[in-house]
Amino acid sequence: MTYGFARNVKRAIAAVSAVAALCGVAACGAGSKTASSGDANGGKTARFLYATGDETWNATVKAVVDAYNKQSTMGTVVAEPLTAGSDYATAMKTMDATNNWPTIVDMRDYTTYAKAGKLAPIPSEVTDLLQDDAYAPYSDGNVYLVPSSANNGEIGINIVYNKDYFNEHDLEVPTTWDEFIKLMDDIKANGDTPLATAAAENWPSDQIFKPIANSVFAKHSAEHGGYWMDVANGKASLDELKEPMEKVKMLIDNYVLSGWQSTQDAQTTTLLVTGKTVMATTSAGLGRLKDINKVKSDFNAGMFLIPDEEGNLNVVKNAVGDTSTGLALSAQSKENGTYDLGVDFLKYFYSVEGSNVVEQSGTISANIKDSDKVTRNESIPGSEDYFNLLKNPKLKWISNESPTEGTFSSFNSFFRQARVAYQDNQKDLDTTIAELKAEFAKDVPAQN
Amino acid sequence: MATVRRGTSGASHNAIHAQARRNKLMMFLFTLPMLVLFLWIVIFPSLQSIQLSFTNYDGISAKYDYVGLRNYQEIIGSGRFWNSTKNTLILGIGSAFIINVISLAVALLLDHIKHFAGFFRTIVYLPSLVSAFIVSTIWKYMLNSNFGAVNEILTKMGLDSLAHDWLGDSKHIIWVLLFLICFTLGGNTTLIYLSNLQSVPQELVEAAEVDGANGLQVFRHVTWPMLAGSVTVNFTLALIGGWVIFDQVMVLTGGGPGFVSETMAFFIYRLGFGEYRAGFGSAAAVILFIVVMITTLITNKYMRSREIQQ
Amino acid sequence: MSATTVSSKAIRASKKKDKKVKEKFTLGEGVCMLVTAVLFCIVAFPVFYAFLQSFRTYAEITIDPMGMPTVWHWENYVRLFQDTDFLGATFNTLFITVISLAILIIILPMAAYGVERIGGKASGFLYLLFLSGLMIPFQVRMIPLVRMFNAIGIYGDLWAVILVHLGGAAGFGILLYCSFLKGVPVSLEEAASLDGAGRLRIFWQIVFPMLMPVTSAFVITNALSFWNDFFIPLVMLDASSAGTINVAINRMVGLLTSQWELIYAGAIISLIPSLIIFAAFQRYFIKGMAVGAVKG
Repeated sequence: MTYGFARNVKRAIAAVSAVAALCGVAACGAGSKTASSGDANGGKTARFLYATGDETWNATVKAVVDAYNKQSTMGTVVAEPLTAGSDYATAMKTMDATNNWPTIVDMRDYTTYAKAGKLAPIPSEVTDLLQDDAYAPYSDGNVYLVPSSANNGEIGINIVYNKDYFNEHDLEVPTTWDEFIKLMDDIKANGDTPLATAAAENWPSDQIFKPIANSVFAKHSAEHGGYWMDVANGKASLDELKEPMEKVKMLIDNYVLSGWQSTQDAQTTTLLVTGKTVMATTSAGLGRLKDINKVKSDFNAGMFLIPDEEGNLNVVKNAVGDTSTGLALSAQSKENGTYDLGVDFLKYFYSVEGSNVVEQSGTISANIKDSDKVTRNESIPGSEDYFNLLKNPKLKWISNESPTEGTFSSFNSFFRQARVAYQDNQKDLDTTIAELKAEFAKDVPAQN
Repeated sequence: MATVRRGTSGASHNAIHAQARRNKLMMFLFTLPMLVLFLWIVIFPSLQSIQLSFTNYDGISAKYDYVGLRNYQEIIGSGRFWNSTKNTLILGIGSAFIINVISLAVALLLDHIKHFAGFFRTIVYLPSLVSAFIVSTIWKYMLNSNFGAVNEILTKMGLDSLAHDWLGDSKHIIWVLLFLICFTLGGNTTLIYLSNLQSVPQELVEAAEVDGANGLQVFRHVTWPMLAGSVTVNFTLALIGGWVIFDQVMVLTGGGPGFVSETMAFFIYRLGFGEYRAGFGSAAAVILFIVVMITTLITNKYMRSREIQQ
Repeated sequence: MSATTVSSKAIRASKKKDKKVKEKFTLGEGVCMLVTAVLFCIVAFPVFYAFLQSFRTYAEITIDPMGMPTVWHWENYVRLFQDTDFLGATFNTLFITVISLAILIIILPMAAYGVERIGGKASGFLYLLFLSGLMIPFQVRMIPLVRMFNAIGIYGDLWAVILVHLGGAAGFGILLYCSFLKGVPVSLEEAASLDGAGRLRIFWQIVFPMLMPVTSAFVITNALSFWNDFFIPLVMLDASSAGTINVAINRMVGLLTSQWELIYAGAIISLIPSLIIFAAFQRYFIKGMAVGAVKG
């Protein structure tokens, strides 16, 4: 009997190994897409790793890659999604650890990798297509990052609102900070909740803080790269953040829809279209308007920026921060011979033709020298507000670059969490500032 | 049979020794593949964690410098770390305790069901087939403060005052997490209890009943002592699982609001992978190991001694 | 023997249901059934909820997140496989689970047998060494593992996940197998060795079949934990692979928009293999738990 059992077991094991072997073949087949090889276009294949999470951007990548491949004589570009989610840094690091860099990569937080020598310089034949302030060289003089979309800085971090509600109650888009507060008081007086914001994930908690802190950042904007650089070099103090942090806290305590601590950015659309709030912060700009339109096509959405006391609309312009995304070429592409193809793709991306494809897909194309020849896409409701913002005389571009020495992103990640803890009454302001100072000193040395 | 063999073989002592040695070598070879894997994947990296905990390794660069005890000094002084330790203890001990109580209660229920027993055993086990990740993903939406099912149901029942920002209330978040982790019928734990319960000799129970013991007394004096072995196993395993609770924290709160709901496992992950401080993370990992080891040894020792007493 | 057990009603412990005396249905039993059923409905509620949600559209879920489906949108399940690489993720999860188990079933019982039979101090030492693995959580060794896998070039590969599973399962596996092996008499093996059978053959033909109850318990618990694991693939796999099912679902939770309808559909699909594993092995499982863990 035991021998019969043994035979059965053997058979079972044989079956299991057969299945296993089958899976193995499949996995190998799936895994071997990394090598560059010849194809129909007669050239090579370059991988374009892009951050997912925003459907508009997904669509844009797909459209522009297809359009490029159609006209390319040098080779083919393959779009490959990178887990973005709320953990872009981890996904990026995992990719780096495998040493399996694509040719073109959609970067955030690029300085870490520029410093580690993982990126290849972008040649002037690409940067010459761009407006001069659309990119910036790294500390070694090379350009490693070029914009993936319009160099509108952080103008996407703004407020979306219910236009019908504004019209119904004779409310106006505020032009000064005091008007903004008055507006929220008025909404509150109607018995409605003025503002929703999201802080469940690390990154979107910037949505409410940045537009307000920008008035402080603006003071340090002129020379030396901005506020954070000044803090690193001892020319500015983190104490200056007390005022914007207090303002944010005041908004949270008085006007913001409860539950902001656990609300995900993606859920603010729900809050707005269901009338739980009249306004909502966003970091997605046009992307949020698109999402609203997709969910409820008759919803009349608008968009504005929070003004400061003097009515200025301060927006960080730098392309090289850790919120602005950009495209980079990997150092590895030089080794495997796909660098030239990557350059060619970027040249197409910044051509008028390429820009039109980008616009059609819903993303605002990068600031190229020929940008007046590009056809803008104003089909999304509310997008006119966005384009008007760009022409607003009160709009003030400020620069606030991330320090490149040390790990500013470690600090920034800590900063966001610490800010949430403060807004949530877990810690008082002085303790928070003291902790921030200690963390900053640990992560960011003096810059040169 | 052994004596027969000894009688017939008539081999010298030397031959027996040689055979024993060969046998030992053979048995060692049997163990070897697993042993090599185990040393390579478990023991060696653990030792390396200790080494990295004395460095400023960032997780990316090939180079790192030794910084002595600086990481440990910083950890000891870090409120964030102690908070994560506290959370780990609450979730670890709390979940081990509550899950065992639930499992035992459900096992007792099942033990009383004699018709369709297989069906009921199956439905009790089914919920544990769902991964912690999936179930947390669903809970995250259901617990939303503004439109989640939980608050809507509470409001409809007229219990508005109970509606809450379940995942955003820093004072209670750790208890919400504990509740969600313990929202189970026990799965394996229950089945272990059940099979143990069903091996309790019915004669003993009946004898106690004849002596006039009520249900509770039978449980206390007959059943419970017989369960000592599975209590030890279940509690130890639940505790080991409890120390490394991660999925729920990652999905439901991301350690927030702020840092309040970070556990040690999550803290190490954040430091090593989100904040580029792998050396510091390694120091936290070493401390996590010490906590796990000490508590496991203590509970196990205590429970074993309890088994013997009874 | 059977006569006495039947008369004393102790057959409750026996699995031979057909021989069981029909017991009367009592009120107490009915209450137990009702309570169990209610508990099941409460605990399984999130899954029922996800199931209903998986048939709604993105717009429906976003506008009214808690509503019920009006039209049953089966196409969510089609889109899950068309729009995302869910098939690849399912394949990866299956590959990791099956390969890890296949390797473990070969090397683990052998190792436990070796640990038990090697005798003397070595036996105790090896046993404790493996057992210490139970107390070393993955988080403790995660950072060096990433570094090492990176150095040998398998980081981001499915094999990285498999290796971590293999090492991680050793502690509990040795505990389970050794406690069962203690009760296996050596005499059987000795008889076979008199027939001239080698140790390897003795093991696979005589000992291993006797270990089936433990093996089935081990396979089922580990199959479920490998299948359901999120953290290890999250750390060990990169974007060049489709990830595992849980990682793939995690990727659908976007920063700006989340594809809820696909997330729910994916959650439901991920349950199906677990159900199959459980249904197929249920009988062995309960038996295995009884012999393996209680003695441990």
